[in-house]
Amino acid sequence: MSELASEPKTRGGWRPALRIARRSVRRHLGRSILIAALIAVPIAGATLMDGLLRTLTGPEHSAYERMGEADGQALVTDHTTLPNWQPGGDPSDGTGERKATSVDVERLLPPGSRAVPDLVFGLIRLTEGDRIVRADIDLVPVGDPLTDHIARLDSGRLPKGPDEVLVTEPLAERLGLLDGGEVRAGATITADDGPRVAVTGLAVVPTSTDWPVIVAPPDSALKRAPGLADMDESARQYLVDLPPGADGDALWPKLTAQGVAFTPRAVLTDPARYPLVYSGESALETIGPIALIVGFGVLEVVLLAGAAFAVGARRQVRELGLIAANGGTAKHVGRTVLAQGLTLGLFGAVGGLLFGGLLLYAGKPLWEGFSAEVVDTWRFGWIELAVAGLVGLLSGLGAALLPAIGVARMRPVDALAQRFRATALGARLPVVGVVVLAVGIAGVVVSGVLARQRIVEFRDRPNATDGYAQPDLSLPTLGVLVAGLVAVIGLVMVTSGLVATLARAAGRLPLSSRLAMRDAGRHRHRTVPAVAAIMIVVAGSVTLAFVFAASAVGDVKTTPDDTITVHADPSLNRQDPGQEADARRDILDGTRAMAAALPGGTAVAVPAAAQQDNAMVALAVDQQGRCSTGQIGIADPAALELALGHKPSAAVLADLESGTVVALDECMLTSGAVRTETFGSGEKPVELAARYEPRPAGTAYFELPAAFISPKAARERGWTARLDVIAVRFSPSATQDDIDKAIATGEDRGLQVSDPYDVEDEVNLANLALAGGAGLVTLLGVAVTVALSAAEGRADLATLAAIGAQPRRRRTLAGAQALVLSGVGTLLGLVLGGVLGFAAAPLSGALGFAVPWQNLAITVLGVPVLAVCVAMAVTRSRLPMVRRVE
Amino acid sequence: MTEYAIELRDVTRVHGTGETQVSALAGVSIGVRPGQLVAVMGASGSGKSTLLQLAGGLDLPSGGSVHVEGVRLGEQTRAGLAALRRRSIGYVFQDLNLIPALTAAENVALPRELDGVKVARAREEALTALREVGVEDLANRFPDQMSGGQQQRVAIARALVGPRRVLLADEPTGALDSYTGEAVLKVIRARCDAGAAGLLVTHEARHAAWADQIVFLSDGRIVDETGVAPAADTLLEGAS
Amino acid sequence: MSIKYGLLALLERQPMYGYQLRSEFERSTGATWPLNIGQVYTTLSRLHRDGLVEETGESDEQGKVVYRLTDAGSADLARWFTTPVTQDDRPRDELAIKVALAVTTPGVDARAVVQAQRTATVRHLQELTRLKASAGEEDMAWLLVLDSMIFRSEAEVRWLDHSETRLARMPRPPARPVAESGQNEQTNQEVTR
Repeated sequence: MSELASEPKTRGGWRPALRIARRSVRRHLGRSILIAALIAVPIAGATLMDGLLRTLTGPEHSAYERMGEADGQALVTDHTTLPNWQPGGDPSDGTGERKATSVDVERLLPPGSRAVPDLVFGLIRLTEGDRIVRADIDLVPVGDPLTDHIARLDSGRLPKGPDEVLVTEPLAERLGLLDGGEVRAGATITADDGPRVAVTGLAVVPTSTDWPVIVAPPDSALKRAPGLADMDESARQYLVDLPPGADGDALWPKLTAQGVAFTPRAVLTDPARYPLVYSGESALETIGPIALIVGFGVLEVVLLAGAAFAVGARRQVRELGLIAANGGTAKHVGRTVLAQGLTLGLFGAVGGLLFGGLLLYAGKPLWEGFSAEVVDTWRFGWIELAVAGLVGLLSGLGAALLPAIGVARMRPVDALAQRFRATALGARLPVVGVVVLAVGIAGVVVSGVLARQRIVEFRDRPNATDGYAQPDLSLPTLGVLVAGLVAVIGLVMVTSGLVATLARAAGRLPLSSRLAMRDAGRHRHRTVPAVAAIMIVVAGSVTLAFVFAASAVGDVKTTPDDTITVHADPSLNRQDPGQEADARRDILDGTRAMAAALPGGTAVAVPAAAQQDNAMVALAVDQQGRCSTGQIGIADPAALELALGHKPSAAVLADLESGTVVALDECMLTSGAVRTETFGSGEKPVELAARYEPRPAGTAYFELPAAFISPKAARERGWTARLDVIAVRFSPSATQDDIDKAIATGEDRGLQVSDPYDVEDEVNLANLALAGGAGLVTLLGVAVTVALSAAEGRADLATLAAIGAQPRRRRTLAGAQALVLSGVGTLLGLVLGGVLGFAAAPLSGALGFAVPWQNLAITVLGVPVLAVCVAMAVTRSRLPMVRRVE
Repeated sequence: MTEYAIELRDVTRVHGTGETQVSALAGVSIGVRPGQLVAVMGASGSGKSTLLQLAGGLDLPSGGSVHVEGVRLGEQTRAGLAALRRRSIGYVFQDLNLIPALTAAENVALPRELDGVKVARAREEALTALREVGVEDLANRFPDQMSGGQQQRVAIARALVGPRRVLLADEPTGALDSYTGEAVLKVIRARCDAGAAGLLVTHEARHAAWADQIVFLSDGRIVDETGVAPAADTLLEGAS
Repeated sequence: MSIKYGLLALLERQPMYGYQLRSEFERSTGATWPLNIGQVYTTLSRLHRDGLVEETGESDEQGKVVYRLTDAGSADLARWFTTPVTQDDRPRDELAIKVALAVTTPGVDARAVVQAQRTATVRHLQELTRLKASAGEEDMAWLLVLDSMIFRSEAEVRWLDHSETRLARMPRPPARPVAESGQNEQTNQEVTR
C-alpha cells in the first residue's frame, strides 16, 4: 500500500464503486437483506428505546408530568413577599401575612396570561357496601387545556357542580360502576363518613392510567370527607400560560415581590440554569453503560455482517480481479467492497430508523399499556437518532473494511483465478492475539482489584456522614472498558489460530464433524467472525450474570419469606387521638382478618419509635443502595424475631436491656454508635451506642426497621411506640390464590397492603433474559455462518451427493458446523465473561462475589444444543445436484 | 518498421522456490507492432497464459523485460502498473469478462471512469468502442442478458476503449461455439487492422490462423514460429 | 468421379453448355479445383453415353450444344448427395506415411519433419483464413469449401501437435543420455545444444 503514496492520487473516485455496489446489492438480494437487517435491528432497537425514553422519561417528560403544556407554575403563598426565594427554593420563607385564596393571580401576571388552579391531591376512603376502597382524589378543573396532563374526560360528561365527579376506569371497575365500558347512569360514590357524589363519566389520568383516581372539581363536595376537610390551604398553586414572548426568567423575580413563587418550565427542562435545582446524575454514569452496550452491539454487527461481507467479497473476487485487470488500483478494488458496506449501512440505518419508528407508532397501545401513560406524541432525541444512524452507516463500513483490505491486497492474477493465499499476517495473527489477550486480561483484573480497593477505602473513610456520596469508580470503570475491549480483540485474533488447530486435530472424528471442523478451519474468513460474535455475546451475558449475582448477595430483601406487610395509613392525622385509635383498630382487625384467610396466618405488629413531633426516628446511613431504611423499631420480642429471622440471643437481649441499639445493617454504625437523622424537624440529632447483629441470611428487610431499641430506652429518650407495620405471616403451603384473597380482604378494609415481592425472582428473570439474549445472538450468528457455508460449500455438497452421500448428511453437517461454532464461541465467551465478571461486579458498588451457576449452566448447555437443533431444523436435507455457478 | 507496441525481451518467469520451483517461461522474446496480431499457441501448461499476464502487467517477470508502448513494466509501481492497465492494455479472457452488476456500456466505460474521465465522456467513448465491434445496440444490456459471443465483443470493445491500443486475448473463443468464435476472431482481426496491437493466446490453430504471426510455445520456450505467410498461390499448389 | 457429380449438380440448376459448366464449376469451388475444358467435354460425353444427360436440341449463338439432366441423371445425383463419403473414397494420406517412415528410418529427425510440416500447414491455414476474410458472405459455396479445407488443416495441425508431444515423450535410444522422467523437450534441448 505504501507505494501508492507515490502516485499522485487514485483517480476515478467512488463513482464506479458505488454503482457496482448498488447493483450488487440488488443482484445478491438475500445476502444484502441479511446484512442490512443485521445493521438495522440494533438501530431499530435504539430508535425504539430513544422514543420510549425521550417520551416517557427525561426532562421534557417530567415537565409535562408537572406542568403539562403550561409555561410555569405559580404558587401563591400566604406571604406578601418572598425576598429570598428563587426557583427550587423554599416558598415558606417569606414576610407579611395574607390569605392565599384571596389573591387574583392573573392580575399579577403579564397581560394575556391565563392561570388555572393546579392539581390538589388527596387520599380518600370510599365505602362500597361493607367494603372500604381507598382511592386518590385529584381536585382539578377538568376540560381546560392547561390541566390536560392531569386528567381528561374519556367518556360521559364533565362534572357540572361540586356534587359531580369523574372516576378512572380502574376505580370504576373496582366499585362496579361500569356498564358496557361506560359509567352506568345514576352511579354514585360515597366517602367513608362523608358526602355522596354523582359520577358523570370516566376520566383518564395521562401519567398513570392504571391507578384508581377520583377526578373532582376544586370545590367538590368530597372535600368535606375526613382526611380532606383539614387540607392545608395556606398556599394555592396555579398552572400559568404566558402570552407569547413572555420570559419566565424575567417574571419570577417580579412575582417574588408579590409573594408568588413562580417556577418557569425551564426549571425542569434545563435545570442547570438554576443553582438550587438538582440537575441529575453526571453524564459519565449514564453514558458509560450505554456506550458499553452500544459498543459491543456494534462489534457484534460488524462481526456478523463482516462474515457475510467476507463471503460476498470472495464470491465477487473475479469481478474485483477484472477491475484490477482494467486498471483499477488496490484502492479502487477495496472501494468496490467498501461501497457495498456503505450502501448496506445506509439501507440498514435508514431501515432501522424507520422500523424503530414504525414499532413505536404501531405498537402505541402496547407501550401505553406498559408505561400506564397516555402518549400524545412521541418525542425523539434527533441528535441521538442521527448518531444511531451514523453508527449504523459506520458499522456497515466497518463490516466491509477487513474483507475490503483483504481483496485489495490480493494480486490481480490471484483474484482473476479466484485463488486465496495465506498471508504472512494471517499466520502471525494468533501469536499477536495471545499477547494482546494477556494484556487485556491483566488490565481487566487490575481494574477489578482497583475497584474493590476503592470501595473498601470509601467505606472506611473517616468522615462518613454524607448520605448521597458514592465511591469514585470512574478510573476502574474506564480501565475495565478499555482492557475488556483489548481482551476481546485479542480473543478474536486467537480464535483464528484456535479454529485452525481444531481443524488439524479433527483427523479421527466421524465424517460430519471432521468435515465441519475442516470447513471451519478452511473458511476462517467467515467462521472466525461468527465464533467471535457468539463469544462476545456469551461473555456479555456471563459478565452481567456475575454482576447480578454479586449485587444479589448484597441485595436487600423487602420482606421475610411468606409474609405480607401492611402499613399504617400515611394520610392519618395523628394529632387527632380519636382518628388514630380508629385507624389502629381498623388495621388490627384487618390484619387479623387477613391472617384468618391464610393457612397458618398470624399478624405480628412491628412498632416503630416516633419522636415528639410524631416523625419517626431515622438513622443516618453512609452508603446508598446497600442499606435498608434507617428506622428504629421498638424491640418487641415477636417483631425482633421477625426482623432477625431467629430468636434473639441472650447477648442481644442483654445489650438491648442495657439501652444499646441493635443494628441489623453494618452501614449504620460509625465507630460503635448510630446517629439519628433529623430532617430539619427541629430536634437535635443524637448518638446512641449500638451493636451490629448480622441477620444470617443477609441485610435487613427493607420494609421492617433495621435497628431496634428497647421500649425502656425509647421511653427514656421521649420516644413513643407507634404502630407502623404489621406483618402477616403465613405457612409456606399457602397458594397464590390464598395470598391474593388475603390481600383483597385487607384492601377491602382500606388497608395499605404491600405485595410480597421477591427480588430474587427478578434477578432470576434477568438471568434468564440474558441467557435468552445470548442464545438469540448465538442462533443468529450460527444461522448466518451455516447459511453462508451452505452457499459457499454448494459445490462440495454437490460432490458429496454425486458420490452417494445420504440426504441426511447435509443436516448432520449443518448440525456439526453449528456445534463447532457455538461450542468454541461459548467456551471462549465463558472464559472472557468470567474474567470481566470478576472485574465488573464491584463496579455496581457490590463487594460480594457469587458464581451464577444457573445462568452458566443454561449458557454452556443451552446455547450449543439450541444452535445445533436450529441449524439442523432449518437445513434442507436435499443435496444440491449441480454446481450452479452464480 | 514501426516500434513494438508490446515487446517481451528474453523473459523468464519462475514460480515458487527451491524444490517446488517451476519455470513457467524460460527466455521468451516476442514483439507485436501496431496493426499486427500475433498468436501464441501451445498445450496447457506451456506458459501461454503466464506470457499474457506478463505482457499485461498482471504479473512481473523473474528475468528479462516487458515493454508496453515504450514503458518498461518492471520499473513501475503497483499503482503505475494499474494506470498502464487503465490507459494502454486491454484484456479479454475466456469468459466471465464482464462485471455482472454493470451494463455493457458501463463495463466498457469502466477503465475510463477509473481513470477519472467524466461519466458522459466515458459513456461516449464506450458507445464508440461498442459501435466498432458492432454491438452498439446492446449498450444498456446487462451481461446476463447477452449471448457469449456478444459478451466477448463487449469485452473487446472494453479492451480498446478510448486511448487503449493493446489487446491481450487469452483464449477469447474458448467458451464459444466454432461459428461464434470465428466471428469474435474476425472482430479482433478487424480491430488490429484498424491499428491495434493484438496478442492472442489460443490452442486452436484455426483461430491462431487469423494472426499475422504464430508462435508455438512448449514448456516455456518458443519452439517454432511462422513469419508473415507467403503468397496464397504457392500454398494452394502445395496443398492436396 | 467428383467432376461427374459436379457437372450433374450444375445441370440440376439449369441446362448449360460446356464452357458455361466449366466457369460455374470453378466459381462454386473457388478456383481450388481448376478444370480444363477437355475434361468437361470428356465427362459430358460419358454422361451422355450413360443416359444421364441429353442434348436440349437448342444451341447458343456460337452453335455450342446445350445439355440438360435426364430423369436417370437426376436420380443418380440425388443418390450421390444422400450417400456419405467414406474414408475409402479418399486418397492415402501421404503425410501420415511420411512421418511414420521418418520415425523408423535411421538418421531422420522425425520431430523436425513434424515441425516443418506444422509450419507449412499453419501457413496454409493462415492463407486460407486470409482468403476467407476477403470472401463475401454471399459466396456461400466458396466459404463452405474454404471452411472444409481450414478444418482439415486444423485437424492436421492438431495431429502434428499430438505427434510432437508423443515423439518428445518417446523413450530415448540407449546410446543417448537418459533424461529423467517428466523432463522431456527441455532436457533434450539442453543436451543437443
